[in-house]
Amino acid sequence: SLCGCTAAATAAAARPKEKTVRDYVMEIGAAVLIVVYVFNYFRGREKNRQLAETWFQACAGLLDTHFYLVGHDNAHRLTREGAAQFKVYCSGRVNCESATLTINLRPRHDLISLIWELIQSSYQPAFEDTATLEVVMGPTPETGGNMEGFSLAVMPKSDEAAARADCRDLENRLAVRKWKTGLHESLVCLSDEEEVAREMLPEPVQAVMNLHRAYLKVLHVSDRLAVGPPLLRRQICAGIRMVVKLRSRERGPRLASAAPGSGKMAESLSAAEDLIGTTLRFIDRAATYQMSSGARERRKKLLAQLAEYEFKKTRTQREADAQQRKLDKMRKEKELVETLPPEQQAKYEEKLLRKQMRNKTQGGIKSIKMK
Amino acid sequence: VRRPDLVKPYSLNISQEDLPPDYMAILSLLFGLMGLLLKFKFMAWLALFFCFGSVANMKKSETDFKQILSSCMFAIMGLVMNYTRREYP
Repeated sequence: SLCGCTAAATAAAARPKEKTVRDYVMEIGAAVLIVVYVFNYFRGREKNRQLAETWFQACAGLLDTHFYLVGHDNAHRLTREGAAQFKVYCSGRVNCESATLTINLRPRHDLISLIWELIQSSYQPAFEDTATLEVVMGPTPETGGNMEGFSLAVMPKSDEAAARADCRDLENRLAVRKWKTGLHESLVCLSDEEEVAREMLPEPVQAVMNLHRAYLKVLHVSDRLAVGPPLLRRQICAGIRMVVKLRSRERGPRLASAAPGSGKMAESLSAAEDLIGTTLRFIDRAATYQMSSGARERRKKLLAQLAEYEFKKTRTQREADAQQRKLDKMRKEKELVETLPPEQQAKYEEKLLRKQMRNKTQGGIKSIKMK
Repeated sequence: VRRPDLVKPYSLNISQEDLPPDYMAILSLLFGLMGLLLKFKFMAWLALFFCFGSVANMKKSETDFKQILSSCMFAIMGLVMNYTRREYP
């Protein structure tokens, strides 16, 4: 009987272990996640598309009024760049070369990004739905080629540090300073000169900005604007950038779920329309503005002083580079001399000695011959 | 204000070298390799999810098919290798 039990145990061990549901927990979990992910992808993508279309329709009339070409193929519709990014390209307007309206929405389609956003929200502000209008001036006078050299930016006070870090032409706090204007206290105006802030922001423009200050992210006008996608901003040109929030946190975060026509959505659409409309009308002002000669001279002088300061800061580095170049030159010369025949080497060394003697006597105190 | 003679046709000037790195695709590649070499099923599944994330967030102007294809291949290979290998007692 003992032999029988041992044989039975051996046979049981030789049989493959029966799999239960518990063994497939990971696979079941992964399958469920895939289904949820795919469902969320299509739902989020469709929601983003509807939001983008709604906001675009609010501004479509304005774009049509100002530009001859609206859309890549003049089809007057948004182009989908990705599931959360939509673009419309416009051209054919006096005082500018082209304008691009880009709508960047929360990645509602991507479950991983949503989870990451939840984790990040504890220490970083959440991603906002925004619309960015970038107007680029052209090289000819008709397309804003004669735009005056200045920088002007309006933004909420809380965003000033980030804007200065992001935009090269605003980073120097001595060159671009804060000025007091009729804007609301929660907004800040940065500019080279007080005159620019005063003349470029007349009362109607300030009134619109004050009314929709909860939706204004930044208005930036500059002759050295970096345009393009945020991580790829390589092209520097004269232009205007207006970034409008499509949802305001001051009124609560549930705007995206509100049906079109309801209170918060209507306010958001109205703000986007007003701010984008103001920016489009602002193009003529920006392209034709002329600074007073005094202000121009002051700006030029300040920029020259800052450039000199930057140049001096690099003195140590330049000296080290010059020293390195000298050492490299001497090493190459030495290597070259070693390849020459002995007579030429002797001639070279004699020439070097004469040069050193000459430098010694000419550099030192002149000796006077007494007669 | 509208001028048909001032129309500038749309042109896209983004070269492949200027594109920002796609971290999801890189993570997918990394986890796929680890799942394949270290034979961890969990990592192979993670690679697949990151591959989905990379494809979902792909933008038209920043599409890099080679990177997506390579991360997909590693994720799928990792899963296939983990589930088709013979288990020795």
